[in-house]
Formats: sequence, C-alpha cells, structure tokens
Amino acid sequence: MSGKCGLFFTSYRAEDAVFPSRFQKLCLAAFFLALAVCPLFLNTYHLSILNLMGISVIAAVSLNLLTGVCGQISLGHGAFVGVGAYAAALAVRAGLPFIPGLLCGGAAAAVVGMVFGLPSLRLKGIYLAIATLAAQLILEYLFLHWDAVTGGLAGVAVPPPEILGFQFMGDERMFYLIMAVATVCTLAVTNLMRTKPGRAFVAIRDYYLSAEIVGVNLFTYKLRAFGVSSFMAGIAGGLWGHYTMYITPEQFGIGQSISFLAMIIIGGLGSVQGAVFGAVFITLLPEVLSAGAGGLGSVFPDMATYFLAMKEGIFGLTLVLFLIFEPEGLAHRWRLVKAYWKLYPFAH
Amino acid sequence: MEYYLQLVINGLVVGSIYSLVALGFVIIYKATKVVNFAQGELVMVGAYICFSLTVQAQLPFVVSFLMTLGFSVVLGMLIERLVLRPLIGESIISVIMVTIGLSSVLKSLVQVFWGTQIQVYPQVLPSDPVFIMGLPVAPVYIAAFILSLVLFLIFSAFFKFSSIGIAMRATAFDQCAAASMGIGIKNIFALSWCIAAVVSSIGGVILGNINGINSQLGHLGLKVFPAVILGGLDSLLGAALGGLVIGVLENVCEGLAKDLFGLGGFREVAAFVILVVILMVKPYGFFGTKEIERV
Amino acid sequence: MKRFLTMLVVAALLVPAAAWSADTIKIGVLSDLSGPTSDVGRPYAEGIKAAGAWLNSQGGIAGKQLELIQVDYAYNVQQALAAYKNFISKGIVALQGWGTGDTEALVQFVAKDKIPDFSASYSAHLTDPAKAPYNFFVAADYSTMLRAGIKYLKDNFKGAGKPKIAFIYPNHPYGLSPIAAGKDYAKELGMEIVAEENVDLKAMDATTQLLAVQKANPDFCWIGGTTASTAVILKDAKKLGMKAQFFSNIWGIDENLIKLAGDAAEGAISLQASAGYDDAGPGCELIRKVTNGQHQVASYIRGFASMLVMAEGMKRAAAKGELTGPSIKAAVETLKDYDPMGLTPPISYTPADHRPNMAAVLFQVKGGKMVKLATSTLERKAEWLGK
Repeated sequence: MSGKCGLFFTSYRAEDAVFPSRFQKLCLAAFFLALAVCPLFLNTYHLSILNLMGISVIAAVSLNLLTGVCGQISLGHGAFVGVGAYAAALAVRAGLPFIPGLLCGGAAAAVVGMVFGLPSLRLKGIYLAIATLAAQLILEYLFLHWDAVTGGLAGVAVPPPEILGFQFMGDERMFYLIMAVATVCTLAVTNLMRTKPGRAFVAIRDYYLSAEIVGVNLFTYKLRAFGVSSFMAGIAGGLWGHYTMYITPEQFGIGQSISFLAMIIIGGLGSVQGAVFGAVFITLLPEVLSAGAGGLGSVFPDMATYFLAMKEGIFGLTLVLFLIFEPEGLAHRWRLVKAYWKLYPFAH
Repeated sequence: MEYYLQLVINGLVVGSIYSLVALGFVIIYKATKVVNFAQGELVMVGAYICFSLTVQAQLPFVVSFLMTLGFSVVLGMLIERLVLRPLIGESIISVIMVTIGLSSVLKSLVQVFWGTQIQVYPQVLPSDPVFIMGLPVAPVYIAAFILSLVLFLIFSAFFKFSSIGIAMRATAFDQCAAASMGIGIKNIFALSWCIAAVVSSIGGVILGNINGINSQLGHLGLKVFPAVILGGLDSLLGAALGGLVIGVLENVCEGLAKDLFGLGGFREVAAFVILVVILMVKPYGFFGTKEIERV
Repeated sequence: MKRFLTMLVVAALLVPAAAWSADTIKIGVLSDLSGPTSDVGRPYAEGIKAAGAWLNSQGGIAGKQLELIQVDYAYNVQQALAAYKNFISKGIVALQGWGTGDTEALVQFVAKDKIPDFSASYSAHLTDPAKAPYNFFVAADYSTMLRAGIKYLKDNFKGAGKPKIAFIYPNHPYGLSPIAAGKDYAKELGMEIVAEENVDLKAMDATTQLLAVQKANPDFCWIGGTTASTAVILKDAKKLGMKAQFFSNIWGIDENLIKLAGDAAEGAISLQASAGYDDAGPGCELIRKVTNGQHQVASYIRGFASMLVMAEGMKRAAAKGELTGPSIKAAVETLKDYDPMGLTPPISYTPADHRPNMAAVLFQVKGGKMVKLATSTLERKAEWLGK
C-alpha cells in the first residue's frame, strides 16, 4: 500500500479499492469531464494526437501486463497489434457488426500471442526476447505474403465503425470511442492486477522458482499473460485499423514493437499509471520534435533538413537518457513530485 | 548437383560476413552478458569513419584503416562509460532498450555528419572474381572468410590463454566473485566494448567494399541474431560457425520454399524460423554454455 | 547555461506559432529525410522546395506566395497520419506526398478531406479515380513503365524466335506492384517468361538467384529494386558473366547506381520519367541555374516537376475563381498534354483517368553516363487503368 496519510479503512473492501480517497475520485471525475468536453475546444490535429495516444495507451498497458507485471520480455507486440487489426477488419468486412468484430480481432491476436508464447515454457530473459523478435519478423512476412487473407501488398480497406447504426466517422467521434475503450482496458488491467492471476504474474516476475514452489503453474499463467496482453493488443489493432481505414503490412513493423517497449520503460515498468504516462510521452515526442524542428528550421533555413531528420536520433537519445537518469520511469518521478507537494515544506 | 554445391559455397561466402558481425556481438556478451542490439550500427560507424578518412581526407588506405581502429577503441570506451556503466545491475530489459536507443542515436549521428546518400567505398581488393568449383566468388568475400577465421583464432586464443581473457570470462560468469578476486570489473567492460568495436569496424570496412555504405547498414545487426543463437550466445566458435551455417541455410531454405511451396522471398524470414526451432530444441545453441539453475 | 538552453528551446517552439498568418497558399510536404528511403527522399524534397522557391520568386500563384510545410515522417505511417492531420488543421489545399506507406494510408483521408495528393509512389492502382479520386503523380505508373520497357525491347529484338524474359524483384509492395501486369503484357507480345526470382531491397548478394536465372538464359531481365539492390544484382551478374539485357525503373538505375556498380552497370537500360540534369530544355536550364550547375539526381528533377504540375493546376483553379482542394483537383484534371518545361513527357489527366502519360523515357548507361535512348509510348488502353 502506498500508505496515504489520513485514510482510515473500516473494511477490507474499502482498503482494496482502486481509488481509496475521495480526492482521488474527484480528480478522476474532473479528468473525465475534461476529456468529454475537450473536443469542443481542440482542432482535428490535436484530436488525432489524442486518438493515437488512446490507441497507444491500450497497447502499452497490455504490453506492461506482459513485460512489466509478468516479466516476459516481448518484442513482438507490434505484430500482435497487426494481427488484431487484420482480423477485426476481415470480420467487419465479412459482415459482423463492429463490437463483435473488434472482439474477434482481439481473440485472433490472443490465439497468435499464445502460440508465440509457447517458447516461454523453456526460455527466459534474453532468449524469450529473441524468440518474440523472431515472431515479429515472421508475422510481418505473413502479413505481406498471405495474399488470400491479408490482401498482401494492397492491404485492406476498413469501413468506419458503426454501432447500432451510429457511424463513428471523423476524429471527434472516434475520440469518444477510443477513449471509452481505453478506459475500459486500463480499468480491466488494474483490476486484473488485484486478483489471483495478477498476483501470480507478479510472483512469476519476482522469482519464478518460489512461485512454482508456492503452487503457481508457471506455464498456464505465462500463457494466460500472453493471451490477455495479446487480446488487448488485438483490440488496439482493431481500433487502429478502423481509425486509419486502410491497413497495410508496413504499419506493424519492428519499429512499433520498439516504440511500445519504450513507452512502458519510460513510463515505468510494472505500473499501469506508468504505461499510460509512457504512451502519452512517446506519442507526443515526435510531434513536439516536429514543431521544434519546424521552428528552428525557420530560424536557420539551411539546417531545416537536418533538424527534421534528427527526430529518430532524439527519440533514441531520450530513451537512453531516461534509462540512465530515471530508470524507474515517469511514474516514479510523478510519485516523487506528489510526495514533494504533500510534504511541503518538509520535503527532503 | 553442381548447382546445389554452388549454393552452399555462396552461402558459406555470404555467411562469413555474418560471422564477422557475430564475433563482435559474442565478445560483448561473453564479457558483460549484455545483448547488444546496436551491433549493426557499430559496424556502420566503423565503415563510415574509414570512408571519411580514405575518401574525404584522402589518406592512404592502410593509414586510415589503422586510424579507424583507433577511433573504434575510443568509441567503444565512450559507449561503455557513458551508456552502459550507469546500467550495471539493472534488469535485462533496460539494457536491451538502452542498446536499442543507442542504435537510433548512432544512426542519426551518421546521417547528420555524412548524409543519407549511398557512398561508394574505395576498392582496396581486386574485383576480378576467383573461381571456386565453377562459382565465381568476389575476392572481398574471400577476404571476409579469411578475416573471420583469423579473428576467431586470435580471440579464441585470447580468451583461453591470456590472463585478461580469462578475467573477462570470469567477470561474465560471476561479477562479484571476479571482483573479490581483484579483477577490475569496469576495466574489463571497457576493454570488451573496445574489442567489439574494433572487430565491428573491420567488418564494416569489408561490408563497405561489397556494396557501398549508407545509413541503413545497421539492419545487419538483426540478421546476426539467428547466427549467435544457433552457435550459442557466449561461444566464439559458435558465432563463427553459426554465421556460416545461417548463410548456407538461407540459400537452401529459399530454394526449398520456392520449389515446394511456391513462396517467394523466404530467405529473409528463413533465418528466423530456424531461430525459433533452435530456441525450442536447443536454446543455448550448439556450443553455448548451458546455464544450470540451482535452487 | 541551462536557463539559456531552455529559453532557446521555448523560443524555437513559439516561433511557429508566431509564423505567417499572412495570406499564403499552404501546401503540405511529407518527406522521408532520415528513414529507409531517405537516399532518394532528400533530393526529391529538395526538388519540391526549389520549385516552390522559384514559383514564389515569379510572384507565386494568383499573386499569393506558396508556403510549404514540410514534415519528415521517416517512413513511419503513424507519424505521416499525424502530420497530415496537422496540415489539415493548418489549412493546406494540396499535399506533396512521398512513398507507398504514407500514400496508401492517406488515400481514404485525402478523398474524404478533398485534398489533392501528388505522390512519388507510382503504384498503378492510384491512377484509378474510382479507387483513389484525389491521388495524382507525374511519372507513368510502375506497370505502365514496365510495359513500355517491354514493348521497346520487343520492338528492337533482333534475335530469332521468342524473346526470353526474366523478372527479378523484391518481396515488397513496391517490387511486387508491376509484376503481374508485366508478365501479362510480355506474354501478350509473344515473349517467353523463363525465370522469376526475389532479391530483397537490402540484399548483399544475389548470386544464388542469378545462378537460377542464368540457367534459363534470358535475353532480357527486369530488375525491380532500388539502387542498392540493383547494384548488387548487376555486379553479381557481371561476375557470373551473364549476357542478358538488364532494365530497371526510376528507382533502380540512376546516377547513384553508376557510382555504386561501376562498369557492371554498362549497357543497362533505365526507364525514367523525367529528363536528365544535363539535357536541353527550359526546365533543365532552370534547374541548372537554380542549383548553380551542381548535378542533381533524377528524383530532384521529378520533385521539381511534381511541384510545377501542381502549380499549373493551382493557376488554372485560381483563374476560374477559388483555390480549394476540389477546385484544384478539377483543374488538374483538365490538363491535356501539359509540358512542365520539358522536364517530363506531356501530361494529361481526365476525371476518369489519372495516368499522367503512357510514356517511358529510356536511358542507357554508356561510358559511365546515362545517355538518352528513346521514348517508348503505349496506347492509353482503358483496360490497363488501375492495374
């Protein structure tokens, strides 16, 4: 427990709540109110960034469940997102309504995730990471070559989502849809971490031998972790496909997997809050850099190309700097900031 | 039949490039247990430095080659000191991500200093092909094969017989025990990165001679994983042989996939399918040390 | 020192906010300046900017200056999407796109937002307005180029019997795109397809594939890669002593290739869509003046031409009244045999057909230079539209 000062619990149920204090509940309500109202004030570009953030949050939170909470390094998350995208697109084009189609995408990704999670029975650490890297590359190859299913190089066009006749066309409507799904997923993962499977995952991460001795069946729980995390990755993929309305194999490469990993590491491994922070940070970073490069470019016009081209280098540099100076991520930094304000003026 | 023999020879020849890169990878892992995702970029940086000294500064090739090796030593030390040392003791995923970040930074630096154009390398080896069993082989590949053999022999001897080499193996095995025996852990790490950077530069110069250099050379780093897993992450012999085997297997699988399944372009993913199979059957590779877990 | 740096960064971020709110025509430019296609992406982007600067120096369009908003998306589709949304919020009326990745992803968006997208991805299916109503480009699409090349080779084939042709291409959307069309047309013209091999864009060695092709002894061999893989193929072919006539498209054989492959490139034919830097003509002269005689590669010239064609469409739209996305599209579709200062063969679009022309300009590598051979023009057949 984080030991909040001033909270007095009279029941286990109250102690176990996700948001124990009233202040937290108020802040959360205010946050959701702001989210609900902001499309009125923001233009399409900002909304599109928020949409991308929402999709990244779902993917990051699911990867955090697998890598941060259960300790299974996975470099294949981008491909699982892709599987979900293709499966959802095909399901919707075959006639299923949007929500069952999305769940179909999630289920397909879960199956694929569990198949590629089978090596986790025998492999740990770096070997598992390399096995998932192989999974990523093999799935990429399949996306490009399984013409009958994925349309190969031509890709798949996806109609915009439609629930009960209401079409979610355009950034504003997709914003509400994506935020709703992201909230549900985040809440689901937080709840999962409070239940028996969640505690089993943490036990496996901390020291798998002790977990096995205590009675946690390593293999089934690891597979479950892969399954649940890939299911949510599939949901993120389905939303992505419906948002961009056109899926091609190039969208789900190794760069995406690395990006998701960067999100959870910069955010803080093992905490849902960290995954959300990381997703927001990594999605905003290229945009901030573009704006900065554009600004610097108008001051030094000859160097404009160079500034624009340094984006990826700066992404790498940010990652390295975070790992060196803030290895526990943004969540840790946030906790320190909150502690500072709470203890003011007695902060250390 | 001759056709298949030629495929095998061609595979061996291309695989020697993989071996060169894999050697650098294994040296780092053997000494520090760090999996270096930036190996391809180290190769690329070595190639670019030699290019700029030879072509842009117009120095004779031997001089610029030796200076490149010097630069690589400095680069290895810088990387170890600035990036890896703060992460001693961190979880393996942090180390993996830091090397991934490092690869992006190196690539970006190369682009800033040398642009994104493909650059042509000075041809130091004769370009007339040598005929092996009827298959014309470019001398550059022969050089790569000989170099990887030579480097492998040098480093095997180094790790087996020299005291520093044994110290490096001890550090990789158990850092605390090695430190308590008086081995300077930090110096060992720095040395291993320097050696790996030097080996990568040599590989980069060879690679540049094959098809010029551009800022996308780093992708070779990914190709190396099947080779090192096949051979064993901490085995030099495994790296050398693994590279050759992967080169041959790529050709064979490509041919098989085409004839049996009609699949095109399978060679790119063939190595990774083999990787998965090896991981399931023999996760520590053919020559790697098995990690025995004791409770 | 830290404070100074922070101020510098903040100032840099604020500058775009204080930038032009003057009356300009905003055009979005998506470029790959640091990603996998950056070796040709940078010259193309520079060509676009040079053309924009020249148009502004001539007074802009309808009296207004052009404002080019450039973003490097490094072939990352997500960033391309975000950049596109950013452009829309800034009020662009047209888009200069780049590769297959971004163009494909944006097809639906530009159709919905009604923004004409001039891309450097010359895929055939983008020429069908039924599928991609707002997409244009200024070079013949890949399939048309391949067909034009095949036609030229067949017409000039001096041997006996059926000419034999082989196809080498990467397993990548760009490489796969024209192959089906090329094979059908080759068969139609009475050629025999004897071999088909895959060489990846990043390949270091193509000996295995070329051995298989050599066994079939083709007269002609198509290479569908980029300069890096084409160089590998040509060098290995020379090593093996292959006698086939190699031909490739815009991205396969250009001046860079000659540098890379040396004399292995001798005799190879390149299907270009634009004039060479040293050619005669008002456009080339202008480019030579603007670049102070520094030789530019073909993609620079194509970028320049792309901007000129877009500007011509804008001029016509402005002459008719308003300058918006749909009006620019309609104006571009009225272009008939428009000659962008001699930089490309004449370009015509119609509302039902976005193929710019059916011509390929053939160059051959002779003595280390690209020498113009001929222009091969095909009939504008309706059944080839979009394939």
